[in-house]
Amino acid sequence: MIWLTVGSVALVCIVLRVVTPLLLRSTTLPPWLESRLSLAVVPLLAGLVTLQLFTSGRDYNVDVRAPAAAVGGLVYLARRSLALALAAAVLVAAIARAL
Amino acid sequence: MGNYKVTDGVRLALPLTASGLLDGVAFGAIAAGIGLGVTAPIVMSATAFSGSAQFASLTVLSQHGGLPSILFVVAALNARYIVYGASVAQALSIHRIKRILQAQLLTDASWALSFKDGVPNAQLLTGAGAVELASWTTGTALGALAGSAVGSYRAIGLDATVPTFFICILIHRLRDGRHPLGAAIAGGSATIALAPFVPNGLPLIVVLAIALLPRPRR
Repeated sequence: MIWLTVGSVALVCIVLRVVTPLLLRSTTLPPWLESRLSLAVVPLLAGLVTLQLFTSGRDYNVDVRAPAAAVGGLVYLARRSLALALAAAVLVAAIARAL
Repeated sequence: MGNYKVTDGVRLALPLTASGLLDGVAFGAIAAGIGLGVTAPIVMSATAFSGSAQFASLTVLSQHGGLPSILFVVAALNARYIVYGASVAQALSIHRIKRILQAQLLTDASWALSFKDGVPNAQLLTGAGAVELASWTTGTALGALAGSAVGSYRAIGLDATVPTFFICILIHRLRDGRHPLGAAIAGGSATIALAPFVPNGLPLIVVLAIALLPRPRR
């Protein structure tokens, strides 16, 4: 299952990157599809965040990652640095767990 | 219009190496921590080369979601590369293999950097993408090896990086002004409302399906 997942994910990523340079040199996507795909990413990302922070399997669950990720988000808003945001989140989570 | 070399792309992308390395370390450590071992995460980073898609895969895997759920999420998160690929197609090499390799180096950052002068430049894209690929894959290797040695990535707080990574991407997307906050709230609310009642992985597919539905004209 692990290698099937790795291979499948890699294949999807590679195909999505190379398909248009190979096949659509002088064509663009229909505007409606481009718009829909672009708009779908935001609710999907929000769904991933809530799954990570507020569920465990099919149960609701909140732990130290929620405040840690909130701090990380605030750091990103303030400094626009993903590295700083991740470092802050790790620090908050580690301290909270140590306490 | 500049006559750039690949090394110019490398130079422009160097400031991104730290975050790429740290992201890679987090991904490698978490992947090893949930049972993917050391080799599989490194191969995944070297081939898939997509932080958001790979973290999403871990999220669905850790929730015991199936392969179709993972691939739906990966395809949705990376669908933007279809658009990126179309926008740089004219600048890439005419040789098929070289063209594929250049396209494989497309990332958000390398795509943006390739448009330094307003038109795509394959040399900048290649240099920037190569730097990102190197830092991401090296970070993954370090994280997978260290993660295996440490045993629990939770104790040192590394599990907080995944939701933080997505929050940062979400903030980045929302700040461009083209994506309404309401879409994020609706997506998050729908996911958490569905989570207890449907199989793992399905809430994200439902959210994706709703987002892709045609809207009635006003």
